Amino acid sequence: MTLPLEVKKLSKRFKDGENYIDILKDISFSLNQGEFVAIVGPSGSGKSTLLSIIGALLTSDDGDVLINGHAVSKLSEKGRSDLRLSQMGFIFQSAELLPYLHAFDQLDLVAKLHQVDKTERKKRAKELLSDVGLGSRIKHYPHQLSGGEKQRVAIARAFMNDPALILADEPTASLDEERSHEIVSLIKQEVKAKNKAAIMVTHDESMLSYCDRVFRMKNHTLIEDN
Amino acid sequence: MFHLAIKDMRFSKVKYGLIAFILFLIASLVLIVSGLASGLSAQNIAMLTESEATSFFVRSDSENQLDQSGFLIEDLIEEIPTEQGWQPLVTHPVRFIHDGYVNEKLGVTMVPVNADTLLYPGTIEGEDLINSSGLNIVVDQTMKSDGVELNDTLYDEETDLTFTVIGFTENQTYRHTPVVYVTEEAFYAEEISPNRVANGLVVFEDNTTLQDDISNFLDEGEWVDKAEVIDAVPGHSSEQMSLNMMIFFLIVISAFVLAAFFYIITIQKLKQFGILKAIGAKNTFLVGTTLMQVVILAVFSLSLSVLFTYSMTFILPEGMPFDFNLITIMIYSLLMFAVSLLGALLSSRRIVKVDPQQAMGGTE
Ligand SMILES: Nc1ncnc2c1ncn2[C@@H]1O[C@H](COP(=O)(O)OP(=O)(O)O)[C@@H](O)[C@H]1O
Ligand SMILES: [Mg+2]
Repeated sequence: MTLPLEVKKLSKRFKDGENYIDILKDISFSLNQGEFVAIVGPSGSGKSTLLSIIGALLTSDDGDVLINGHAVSKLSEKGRSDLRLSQMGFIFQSAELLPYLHAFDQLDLVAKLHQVDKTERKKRAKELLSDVGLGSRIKHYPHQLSGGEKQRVAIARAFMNDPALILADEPTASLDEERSHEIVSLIKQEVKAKNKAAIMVTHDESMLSYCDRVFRMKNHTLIEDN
Repeated sequence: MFHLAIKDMRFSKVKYGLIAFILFLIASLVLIVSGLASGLSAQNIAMLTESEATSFFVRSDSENQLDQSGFLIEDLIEEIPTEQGWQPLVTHPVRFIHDGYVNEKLGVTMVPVNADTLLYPGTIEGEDLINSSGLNIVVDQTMKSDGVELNDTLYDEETDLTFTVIGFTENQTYRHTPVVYVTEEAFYAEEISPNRVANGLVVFEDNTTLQDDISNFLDEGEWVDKAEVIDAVPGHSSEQMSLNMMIFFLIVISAFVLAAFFYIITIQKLKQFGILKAIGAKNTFLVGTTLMQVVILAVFSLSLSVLFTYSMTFILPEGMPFDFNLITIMIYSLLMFAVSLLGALLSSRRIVKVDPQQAMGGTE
């Protein structure tokens, strides 16, 4: 069986003036379906960079990322864009919804971009919004929703195109503790219900209990907790 | 694309409404000025543009201005009769007194014609000169806005003659005055002019032998094209040039204003474009949506300004030289449309350059 995600000997350096500095060195790991893992590490340690490469937003210098067995490094820019649309569900730090669309349309848009037909779009969007507890607010605009509610819409949006992989970069950074627990347990609930692989970057240790495995960023590489 | 474009614009009504309003104002100004330009131009030269004449014989020292040109043609008519295909053109300024309003004289250009020739444009209302004798005149219909009606009489103090309006013609104005047609018989019989004179001679199709014969008989003159005579009408070129200059600058200004507005809006939305790219939207989709918004705005605003300009033809006082010329209006509307798209295209480069990775936190 092909794995939803395999990371193989991934390296990334950035140019800093005259010299290159290594941000990621020789990172390898893989995820199974239905697995929810966390990446923790100090600020500036390269967590977002790693997530960007896995999410086909950034290219690596060495090594490769395989999504359902397909190598990302072989794809053109358009190919990566298509891959993000169909196989990746992103959950950003602050929900990053479009201000001019209500909750239903936020979800509808991504499925429309993926050319899903109208009745199917409607069915999925309604189901997902009620899954995240917003069944009664589907016509609410971002400015009419609280921070937690916006993040719920973003979670629902991430699942809209039935992706292989969910990538969340500090999804609770702008929420209070109670809301943070709700959001992370919601992500877990959806990941398990839909049997997806998911990576969450966080620096809140109290969120780690929701995750199946925990990786720590140390000396530019990932070390798994036992 | 279309739905997203509309939803965005509906959400930011004030912002997009403001641009639409500015585009509407500038476009209306362009269209109204162009209407004035063609109205003024018509008032000055319509008689010539509408004329069937192809070439004009004018004095060499007249700089092609009919009013500076003049010939005694008594001998010419004997030698080369007009039947050979030419006609004398006389433009005779007269100031009429209408209904006894001594203080409000009506300036007109009187043109004596043989009503059987192409020099005479015919009537749209009332009786024709062909069947008339005596001091009857056919006048341009713009005189209606001065209150002139059929069978009214117009008095010329200078010659102490009274003319009767028997018909109206259209598009016959010259040097900002209505043209008044009178028969040659009446014009010369009443001795308004003691001698057979002409400001210029015209032919209605080019005929080298005839034209050479005339030039040889009347030295001091030369044949010029209709276009050259039109360009030489006093005020015409400078009037048109300054109005066209105004239109040109208005269009340049609108190009810059629109480009600046669209650019600012695009900059404000760069983060949104980054997010959309991250979740898989293509450049073509994002640029397409933005251009769609400009098309919607431009079509909306330009249609409104065409309607507004059209309504001006009813609002402006009747004597105002304003000409709603659909072809000119369409050309300027299309030009404004192209200018708006060009302005938007400029900011499209910024959209294409947005890096989707910026959506992922932590890389400030
Ligand atoms: N495009 C880039 N060019 C140069 N340096 C970068 C770039 N992106 C990130 N970095 C650097 O890489 C390091 C890791 O950044 P990041 O992945 O955002 O860390 P984290 O998410 O763990 O806080 C930081 O020191 C950052 O300054
Ligand atoms: Mg980060």
